[in-house]
Amino acid sequence: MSPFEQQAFQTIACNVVDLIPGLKPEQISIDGKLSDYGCNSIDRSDIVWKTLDDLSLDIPIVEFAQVSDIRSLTELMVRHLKEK
Amino acid sequence: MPDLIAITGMGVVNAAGMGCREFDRSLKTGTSGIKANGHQDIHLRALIPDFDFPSRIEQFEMENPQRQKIIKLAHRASPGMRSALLAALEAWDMSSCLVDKNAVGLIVSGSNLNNQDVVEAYQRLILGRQVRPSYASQFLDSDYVGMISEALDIGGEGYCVGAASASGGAAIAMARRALLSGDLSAVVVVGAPTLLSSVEVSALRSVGALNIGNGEGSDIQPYQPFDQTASGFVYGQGAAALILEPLNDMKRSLAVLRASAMALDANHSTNPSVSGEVTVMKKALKQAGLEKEEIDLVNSHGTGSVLGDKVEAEALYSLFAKNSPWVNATKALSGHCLSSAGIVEAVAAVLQLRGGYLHANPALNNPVQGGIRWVGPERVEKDIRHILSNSFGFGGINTAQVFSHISTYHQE
Repeated sequence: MSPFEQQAFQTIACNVVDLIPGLKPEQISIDGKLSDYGCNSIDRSDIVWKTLDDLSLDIPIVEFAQVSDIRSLTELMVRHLKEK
Repeated sequence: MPDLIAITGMGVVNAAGMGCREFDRSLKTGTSGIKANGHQDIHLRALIPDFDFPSRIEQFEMENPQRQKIIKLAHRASPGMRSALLAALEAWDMSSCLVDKNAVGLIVSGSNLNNQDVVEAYQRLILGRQVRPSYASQFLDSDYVGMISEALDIGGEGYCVGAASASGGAAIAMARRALLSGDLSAVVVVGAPTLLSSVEVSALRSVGALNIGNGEGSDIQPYQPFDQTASGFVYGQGAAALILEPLNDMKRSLAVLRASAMALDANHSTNPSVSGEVTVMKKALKQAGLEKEEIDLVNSHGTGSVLGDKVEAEALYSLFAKNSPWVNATKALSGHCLSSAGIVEAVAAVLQLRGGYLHANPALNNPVQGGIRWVGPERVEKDIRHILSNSFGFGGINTAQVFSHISTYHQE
């Protein structure tokens, strides 16, 4: 993983863990979906929101509406990190 | 159709007690949860302490999948929601209620519960930042209905009842009505904490309702409703819950709810009225089928508001005249829990009924009115049969309930 990928994925993983009790960051796989970890659609929006905040990205959350697998989410975050 | 309602479970989470046992001890010993903490807006208040939710619910019997589901729900909930959930779980566990989920109702007392979240979200927005998406459902008071019904698997009906500081009284009245109609076989009534933001604190101070604590450190005047020194209510956070069912299983019944009355002053303002308060107390006595002489204790609304105390004392004197029952004010120990006050005080009433004591008013040295049998700085040990509990709210909303000892049912 590139440093940007690493940063984006780890931030997402930490935010999933914050929301779902009993999970550890190392249990989160980039090949998984947020729903695999018990997140519903509102949780998914909250995770995107918190990750954008943590990465200091100012992107409308609705842009992420169709993304639910963690790899696509990471890639989209990376694209915006690079643009920044 | 049932004609009497039983309280079969109770839960409470406030500064004077995390759970019924602790609250009972605080009431017995006259221990207040109010603390001075030097906060810039409000340095005298009774806050719910931080607590670890999973360890608090360990004592409650439930299947493991349900426990895990509830822990997961509570984990993402606001502190106010977690407190309400804990109180509801304590009450539900105590009740051993086995009613089919579709015959159980849920009534949450209070409106405008989440103003701290509103202000926080607005502060982000004006800085050009995005608001947390889950705020879309969390700004609604009915989020409490969703969360608690999911935790307890309640399928009957559910809604919030807003009646200012009388919300608890109104919620109990709605629950009683639903049970008497036969539409429901059990109702979970939950008093949700009002989380005031700095915006409400500012306005409540301006109208002279809120006492933020004068002086510094140990010089701070103790808060005591009905004392001549009282100068407004002290803010309390509290969640509480009752399980109400038709009275048919004496073994599971903690007390009888004999009456739950409401009356309006037809007045949109903040001032209370003697006639409205007398009317609602009379209505409650009539509903209960009791003479006023049969009331042993009035668990007053008593907030420490100068006008509110004076009007309630006058109403009590006008109704009971020379035969005053004992009167105490739970807010001296819990602070004014606003939307949940009526439920917190219903729990206090039942604890006193069952414990055979009248809790102290620790700093009631110079009452605002004579001719009333105030419980002073010492608690009174006494067998109690009937308690009248008052809850009044801004907007001329008056409520009164009668709680009776379970032995009074045997004697009829």
